[in-house]
Amino acid sequence: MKRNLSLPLVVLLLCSLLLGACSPNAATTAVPTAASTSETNTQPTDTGQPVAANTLVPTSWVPVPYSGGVKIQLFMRLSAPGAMWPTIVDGFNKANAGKIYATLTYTDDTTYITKLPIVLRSDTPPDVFFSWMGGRAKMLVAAGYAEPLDRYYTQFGWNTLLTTAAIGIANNDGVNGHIYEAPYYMSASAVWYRSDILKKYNLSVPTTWDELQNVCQTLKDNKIYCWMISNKDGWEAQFDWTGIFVQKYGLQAYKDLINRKIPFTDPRVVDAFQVLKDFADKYAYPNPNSVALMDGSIPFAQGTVAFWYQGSWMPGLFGYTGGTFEYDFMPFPTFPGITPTQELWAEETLMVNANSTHKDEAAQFIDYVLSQPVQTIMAQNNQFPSNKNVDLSVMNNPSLVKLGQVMAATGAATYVHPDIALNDAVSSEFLNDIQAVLAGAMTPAQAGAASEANAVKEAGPVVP
Amino acid sequence: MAAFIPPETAVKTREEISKSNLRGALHWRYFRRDWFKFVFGIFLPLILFMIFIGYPMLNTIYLSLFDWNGITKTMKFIGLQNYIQLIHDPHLSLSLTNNLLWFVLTLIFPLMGGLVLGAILSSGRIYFTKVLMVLLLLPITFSMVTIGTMFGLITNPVFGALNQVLASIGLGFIHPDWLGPNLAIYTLIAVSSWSGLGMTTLMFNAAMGQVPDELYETAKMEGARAYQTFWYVTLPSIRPIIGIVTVLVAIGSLRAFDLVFVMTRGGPFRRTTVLGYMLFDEAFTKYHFGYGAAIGTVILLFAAVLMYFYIRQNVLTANN
Repeated sequence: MKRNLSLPLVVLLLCSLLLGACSPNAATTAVPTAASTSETNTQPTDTGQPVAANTLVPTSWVPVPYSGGVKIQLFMRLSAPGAMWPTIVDGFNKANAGKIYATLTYTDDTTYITKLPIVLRSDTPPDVFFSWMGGRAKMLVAAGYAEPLDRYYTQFGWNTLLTTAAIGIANNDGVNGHIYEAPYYMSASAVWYRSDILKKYNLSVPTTWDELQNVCQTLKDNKIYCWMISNKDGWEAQFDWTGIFVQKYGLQAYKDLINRKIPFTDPRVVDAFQVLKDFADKYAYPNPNSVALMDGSIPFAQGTVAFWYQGSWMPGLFGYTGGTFEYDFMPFPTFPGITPTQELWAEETLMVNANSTHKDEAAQFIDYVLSQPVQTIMAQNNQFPSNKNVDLSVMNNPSLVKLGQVMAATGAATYVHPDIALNDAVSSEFLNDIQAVLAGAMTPAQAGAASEANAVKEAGPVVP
Repeated sequence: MAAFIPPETAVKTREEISKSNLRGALHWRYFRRDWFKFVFGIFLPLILFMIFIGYPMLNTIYLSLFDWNGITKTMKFIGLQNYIQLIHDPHLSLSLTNNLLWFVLTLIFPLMGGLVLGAILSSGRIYFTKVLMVLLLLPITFSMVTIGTMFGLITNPVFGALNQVLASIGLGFIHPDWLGPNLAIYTLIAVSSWSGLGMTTLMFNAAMGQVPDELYETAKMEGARAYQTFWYVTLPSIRPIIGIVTVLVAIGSLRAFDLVFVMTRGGPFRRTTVLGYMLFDEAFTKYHFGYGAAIGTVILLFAAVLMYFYIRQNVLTANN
């Protein structure tokens, strides 16, 4: 009797502990090892976007000691280039010894979002702080925390130093003709694909949506998932939705949607939901709402998925898998009759606190970040600089060098996906609705209606 | 003047506490004699409570009357508008349903499971009781963030161990989407139940150890079977503890946030949103601080009601 009861209990407990112990190993052993085109090892941030491991803030970092001068405070987000902040801050402090001394506070994405309002309202607010472009930037401007930077653009010559796209983005986010942000790290979206898989099945790189369908069908026939949609965190699939919408209905239609000139119930918006849903059901990796960005990199590295539409940070993520496989990128497939548009945005910008008592010194720090030597360090770490004089050939990934050329050719600011373009209160509902459509819990029309109802509540009705 | 009542008899009746003991205890003479207990046992904790719990609580209620994004220096007073909006918010009913589901299911698994395991462990019919107890209590030592991360990996649809185990025993065709829209909330509750099982087992095991042996011996002499002994002797004897555990489980389900945050972020499409996560989402993602404070106040009200029952049950237990 005693054994009858104890044995199952022990087995049950051991099984539960064993499950916990063996899972992480499964993740690491599942990835193949071959030659990589990316040399940067990465670690994920909490939003899934990778951080270059070789640029992570060292725990043993000892800042350059204070040697007099005005003290300014920096509040930064620990992202890919953000991991280089200690190097940048030390360089700035050495260059300005006795005049200006910058102290650095940095945090991860989630903490940044929750902490920024508290930090800005504190008695010792930062003089320079990170901001996303778009909706969040505009909110900070409206709240009166961002100092107009127009005079610094003139004083330091940022108008001629930065790329046309960076200037355009800063102008687009401007209010009443003033510029409030200084973009220092640029991003673009691209369809990353396994070139070795296409070669294996004698497939050409698809350039149109119809060609993509044909390629996907061939891959499906060969038991390979065509497209990765990893949408667990909710923001990832907006790339696909935006890609479909912009390439099918044009850039102006997207700008109208973002600027509340057309509603989310517009037939074009609903159709983009439908096209995404149909495509995902037919060709995408299963359970998109349960697969996080990091998770998706495993089947991609294993070669069970061929295409993935995401940001320019993806090569870093591929490096994280430890996998060595051939990959390249292509623009999002085109639809008939519409001029294709490359998505291009400023991943990170800096702002000067309007309440700072050291605005000029804060601007000097930004000027240092935008300078060619610092921006070159960023490029060496595979981050796209906003300084147009940086030689992108220093990037150690050929795909990124090529993407940099595409970005340069794009020139002007184009568009950015909704969670950056809109404020969070509007975009978060939209992202939820994409998840619901992908899961089949909402029809595209219902998703459009839900997004619109929330947008009306948060941003008011459309004004055509 | 009422005489000092030793702690072991101080909970005889509520009347005694209120009429004689408390009045006497607050007298200056007793304060001088027991100043250390008064200062460090009452006043200091009370001050700390007011600073770290009382003030934020009152401030939350205050904030809930304003329209504020958490950033601007000015707040717009809107009275009870946030509460009116909350009543009409479809996400509220979804969150409440999830909290209720969480409560009901965690009542079934950790409470029932704890009851059964507690009975088995206190039955004296198995070996390695202490080892088993230690193993059962092990999850309590893990933070919920650790547990969430661990089970996030276990249930991962790409490489999760759970599906691999299923596949290895020939059930690979099932391949459940543990964090998908249909299963995610149940996965979270199962993980929460797993983490809470040890504590309920410990409490029931301790309570069962207090049941007088004479009752069991009498039941045995009357010819009662094991389940009859459990039903007619053990259960009635530990009823007050069952009440306390039930209220604790209810409070725990109201506090559900950490697992949701780590494993699903309330998704997919809010299917796993609970009140705590809804508060976080509104205040810190959408920058609706006033509205978030209103949700926090509602949670506070629910918690206060539950705490009332908890304290009442505790007093009843002490009196019994």
